[in-house]
Amino acid sequence: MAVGRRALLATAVAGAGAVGIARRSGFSPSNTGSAGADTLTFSLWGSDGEIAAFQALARAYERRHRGIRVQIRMESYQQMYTNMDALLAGGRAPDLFRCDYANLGMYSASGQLLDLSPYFGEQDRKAFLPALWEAVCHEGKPYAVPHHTDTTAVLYRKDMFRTAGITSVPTSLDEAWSWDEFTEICARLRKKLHGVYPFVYGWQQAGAFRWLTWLWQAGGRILDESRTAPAIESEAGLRALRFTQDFFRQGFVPPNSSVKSAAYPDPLFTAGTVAMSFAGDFLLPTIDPALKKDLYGVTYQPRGRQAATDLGGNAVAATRTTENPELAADFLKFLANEENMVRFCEQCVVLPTRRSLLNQHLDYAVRPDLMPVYAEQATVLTPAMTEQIAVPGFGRINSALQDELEAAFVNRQPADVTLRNIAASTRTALASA
Amino acid sequence: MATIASSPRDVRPTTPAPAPPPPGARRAARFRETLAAYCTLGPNLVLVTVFLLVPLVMAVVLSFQYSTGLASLTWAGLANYRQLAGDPVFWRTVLNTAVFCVATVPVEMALGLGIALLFNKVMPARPLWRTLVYLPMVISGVATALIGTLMFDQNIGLLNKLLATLGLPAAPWQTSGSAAMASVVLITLWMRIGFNMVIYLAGLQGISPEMYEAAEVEGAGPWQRLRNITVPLLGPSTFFLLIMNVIYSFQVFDTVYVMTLGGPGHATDVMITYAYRNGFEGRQQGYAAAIGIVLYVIVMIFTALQWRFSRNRDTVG
Repeated sequence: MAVGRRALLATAVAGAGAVGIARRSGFSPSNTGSAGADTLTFSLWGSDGEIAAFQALARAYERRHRGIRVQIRMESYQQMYTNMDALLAGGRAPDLFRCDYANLGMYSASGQLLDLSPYFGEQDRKAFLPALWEAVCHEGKPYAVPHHTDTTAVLYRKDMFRTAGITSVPTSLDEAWSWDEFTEICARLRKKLHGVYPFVYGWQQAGAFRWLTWLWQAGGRILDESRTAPAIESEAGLRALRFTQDFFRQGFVPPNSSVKSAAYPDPLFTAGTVAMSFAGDFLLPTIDPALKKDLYGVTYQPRGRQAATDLGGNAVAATRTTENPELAADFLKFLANEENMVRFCEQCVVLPTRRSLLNQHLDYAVRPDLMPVYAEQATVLTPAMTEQIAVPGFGRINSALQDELEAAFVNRQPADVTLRNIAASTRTALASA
Repeated sequence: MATIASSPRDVRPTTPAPAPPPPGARRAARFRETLAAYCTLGPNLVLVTVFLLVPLVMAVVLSFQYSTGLASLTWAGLANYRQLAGDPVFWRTVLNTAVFCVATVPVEMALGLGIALLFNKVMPARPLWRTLVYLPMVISGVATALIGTLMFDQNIGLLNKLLATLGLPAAPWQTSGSAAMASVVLITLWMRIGFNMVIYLAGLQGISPEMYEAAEVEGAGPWQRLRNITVPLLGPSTFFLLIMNVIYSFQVFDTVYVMTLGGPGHATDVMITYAYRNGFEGRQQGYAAAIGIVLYVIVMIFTALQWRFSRNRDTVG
């Protein structure tokens, strides 16, 4: 079919119109860089609920500051850091971006983030939980605000526990099962329930670092106190690794739920494959629609020599190259103020990072009855634990944990060899960070 | 015997032959021709340079450097390659890549040919069958791999449920290295057979039916026709598919990454997944580039050997 001049002209006009409409409606043809003195660009990933919450906060900030625009740019979690690395290296980074605590250290240590010291005074800093504030600091300077946290607790199926004759679960941190008690519970569930595994742990893929909870419970550390050398080759390290290897040896966890697997805790729990699931509170919006409310409850993670839990959640950082450092810092304060933190946490079922909100009743959108246990579980996280995750090379350490724990769990690699390999990789990661 | 009469030498053409153009005009014509050639080739050359040659050279340079992507680069010399040579996981990924290649390429080509022969015949709903076989090729690799994870999940997957229905024990798709590799190979075959089928179908339709008729008249059976006519005349298609399939198998990433993340252990880790994890998760971009360069050299050697020793690459199929 011949294309006439009129058709060509009409197509060109329509195309130009479409581009114009797209620009007016806020669609940005280029997902990079700052966007002028009165606009903040903010890159983030998130569930539908989280994106809606961030958008609502951005609109609220715009209403409060006439003439200012907050442009939210969505990324997939899988691509977030790859893209951010490229944008930062190319000098086209957004003003602000969402970042998990494990990756934050690398960005702050490589000089990519805005030093927030001038904008957050002593009073501001004291308002946050010390462990979370420590996670956003590098060499004593803050490079992000701890926007929210989440942590792991033990969801359990009440019907399965009844079948196994288990009539009570710990109702406070002090009553949390010891490792031996937890083993007994698992053995009982294994014996009484057919075709059901006692539990699943959420250490899959990028969550490999959650294994550190067991190490901390055993009284061990992955890094020494100066955070310049590995400290995992210890009695506590051996104890934690052998204990967790036993989960696979004794059939306490599904064999395919190891560190490299994509068998995550939420679908295995809702499918009835496991009786307990070590699940983060952020999974409740996924689990809740699939199970009747009275079918499952929550209890605390077991405790070894001490109680411990993992550092979940995310911070929000401003980039060093932002054209609007004052505005970016102001928006960070706005995001993390008491009122907005409450709103975000309630909507997204995550935990606040402000001290003042710790014991305050929040009206969570999903299973508010379970959240006090999560909130209490989060209190066992100490600055000493979070500072080991906030080191610049932690991404590489996490990758080594993934490989070595998989070898220990699936290929039965001896515990001492596994710890030696993790220590070697940690040493390399610290040296090259 | 027939004789061929030659035309008389003294017969002159009725119109005089055009006089040769002057040297200046010849140069102008040659310049116009050259200009036209460059105008036609230019865009492709620019694209090849910008998106192929420049990144390739940059990757080679990067493989001799230490780089985290954000901190400043430092020269590493041969350190990344020395590290590769002594890295048992790297050699495991080379072996896995070779195993994957051997397990997929011949099978997908044989099955592609078989299905193409079947669908080349007149059969009911032929377009529908062709579409069904080709469909997985249209879906993205990640989506196909996600379907794979649902099918091969050891606890709640479709395949183990089927095995259980038949009274058979569950297969350890995610905890045994060989079963995990088999699951990735099966999904790859499902995805790639359609492409092989389409190329072979095109080749089959280029073979003249008269050749088969002549062979039939000479008493050749179906097997002889297949062996002595179809397979040799599909040589160029086979050559093309062999190269493409081998390159694809050496570069497999999405299926492995989504289905197994290289596990259990390193049982399904291939060179690209290892390079990706080093480059983007471990942020050792120089080391990852070195892995990429080794892979590039292997693929180039294989392609060169194929090109050198393939007898029928230039024949018409």
